Amino acid sequence: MKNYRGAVLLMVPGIGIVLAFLVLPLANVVEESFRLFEPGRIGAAKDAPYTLFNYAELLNTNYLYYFVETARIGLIASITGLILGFPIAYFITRRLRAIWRKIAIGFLVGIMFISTLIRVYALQLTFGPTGIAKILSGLLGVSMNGRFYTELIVIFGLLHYLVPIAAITLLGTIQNINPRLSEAAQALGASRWMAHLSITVPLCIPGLLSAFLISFTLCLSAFVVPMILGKGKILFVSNLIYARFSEISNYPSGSAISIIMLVLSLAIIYGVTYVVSKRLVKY
Amino acid sequence: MMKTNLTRRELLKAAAASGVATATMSFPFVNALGSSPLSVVDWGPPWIDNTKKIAANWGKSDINWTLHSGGAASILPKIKAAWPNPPYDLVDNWSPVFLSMIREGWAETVTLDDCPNLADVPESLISKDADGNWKNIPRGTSGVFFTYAPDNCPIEINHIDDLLSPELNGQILWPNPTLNTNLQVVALAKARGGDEFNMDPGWEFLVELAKSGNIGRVSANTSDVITSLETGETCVTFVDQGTLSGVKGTKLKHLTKTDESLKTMLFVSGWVVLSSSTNKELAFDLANYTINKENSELYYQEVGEVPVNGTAEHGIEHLRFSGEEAEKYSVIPDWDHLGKELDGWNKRFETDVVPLL
Repeated sequence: MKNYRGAVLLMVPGIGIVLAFLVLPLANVVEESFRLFEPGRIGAAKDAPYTLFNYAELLNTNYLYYFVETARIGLIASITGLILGFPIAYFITRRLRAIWRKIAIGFLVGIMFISTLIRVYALQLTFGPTGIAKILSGLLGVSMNGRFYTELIVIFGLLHYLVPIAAITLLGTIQNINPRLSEAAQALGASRWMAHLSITVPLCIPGLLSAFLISFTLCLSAFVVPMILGKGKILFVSNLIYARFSEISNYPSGSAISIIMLVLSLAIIYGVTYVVSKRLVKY
Repeated sequence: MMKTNLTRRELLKAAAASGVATATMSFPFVNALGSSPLSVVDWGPPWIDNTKKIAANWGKSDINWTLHSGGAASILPKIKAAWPNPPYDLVDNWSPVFLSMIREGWAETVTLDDCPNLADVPESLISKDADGNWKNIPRGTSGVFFTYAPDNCPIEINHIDDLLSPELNGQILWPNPTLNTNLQVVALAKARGGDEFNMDPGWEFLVELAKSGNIGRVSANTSDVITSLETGETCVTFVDQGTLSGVKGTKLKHLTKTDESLKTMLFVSGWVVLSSSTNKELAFDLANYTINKENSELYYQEVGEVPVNGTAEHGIEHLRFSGEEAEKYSVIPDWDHLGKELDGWNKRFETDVVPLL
């Protein structure tokens, strides 16, 4: 009993901080999302009546477009990030000597500390009109101001931080798999690829799932990448939220979009976790 | 050899005494400098460069500078969030945002005693509240209009319908609705028989434009405009004169007096002293200094807007309209209406236009 009370007391500061800095602001956003906005004002008036209008207007099918586009581009970037990150993690874990492994991991961690703005503007300089946009778009047979090229650059921007994160997340997973399992499969006649695909990759599914969820969550909340590289033509939901709050001061509508996005993100993450853990992870 | 007998306790006493003495002596000095630096909000270059140069000559206070990020209205939520103690004294802004600030009660009343140089400014250019009190210190008048870079543009643009030419694929830089308070769609509406109160013709035109594939980028701030035009990424846009002053390396042709379908929207830009400011006297003094004859001329030379000070000289021919030209080519929109409609227009842009880009 005494230990229990002590544990509760130790948790009080943490719970207090969560309540003050997470729950309270979130409750404020929920409350604001039900307020009626009067155009021309800055946010809702203190005595503004409650309404469902801010949610109802999001039922317009054209708003669904933004949620679908955010999820679609996020999905492409997350899966591509995993495809690129997995071999990097495998190579670092299984092929490098200890000293080089430390250097490689340090490099990946270092990349993650580079400011997003620096990465994004570096990409814009390189693949934008001052860089090789004309050459690259010419090689691809598309317009550098067209939708395809712009979307491609946005995905590059997302990959810039997804690949290191995916690789770092997978390092531990691959490290923990006993290489003798794969060797045993090869001893029994499986080719190296077959052994890799049928032994190593399935054993990595929990790690791959974690890496995917981290990547996908980052994509869903991405703001700077689509804002700067999307040329105003590719807008994520976070950009809509920003415009509502910062450009037109419609806090109630911005709050409603934020709440919808939060609920959808949680639903997607829990859904994917459930499906993968129940159906795919058998080990 | 000199022997010192300083003990640790004496050393501590001496340090404490000198600390108190230093602090006491510094108080009058601090008070003489003023309570805190002036806090000024301005747009990016060329505005802030010009204001900094003028403020350096003024020299009566240190200044903390803040840049507008995105549209000029984006300062409003920042003020709202911190009200009644926003960290700003003086805000550079323009016609539609003046009205929002006046409506919220944030703009301090201005008199000739506060800003004597307002005597040289036409009263019609000064924003007023419902009681007729002056609420801003105008600096310049300017226009928002279509312009293009003939050297980068595959066609000559003479009429609004030229924007739909297939040769302009990906070449138009279209401002998002929060830039220019969506005057760009008002301009399209005007060309098709509508106006700010009847915007459907303008939206239909913009949907056609989006479907044509001619919109290569949607600009969200002044640097988007300058970079896109300078690099040749796009060659046509609808933009204000001040932003164009930042475009140095690309020759532009301004379409202000070429065809009745290409309208120029006229506006006033200038200062608002926040009613919450604890530095009102200094804020009015700096604002007043920026609009004297010499600084108004410098403002014209560096920012490119027509100075409101009637004694200042300028030579912006494409924004100098005769009575007949003003009637044919320019529009003074209903700013109050624009401010109230912006929320709905922004949503319409998101639902009807962006998915087509």
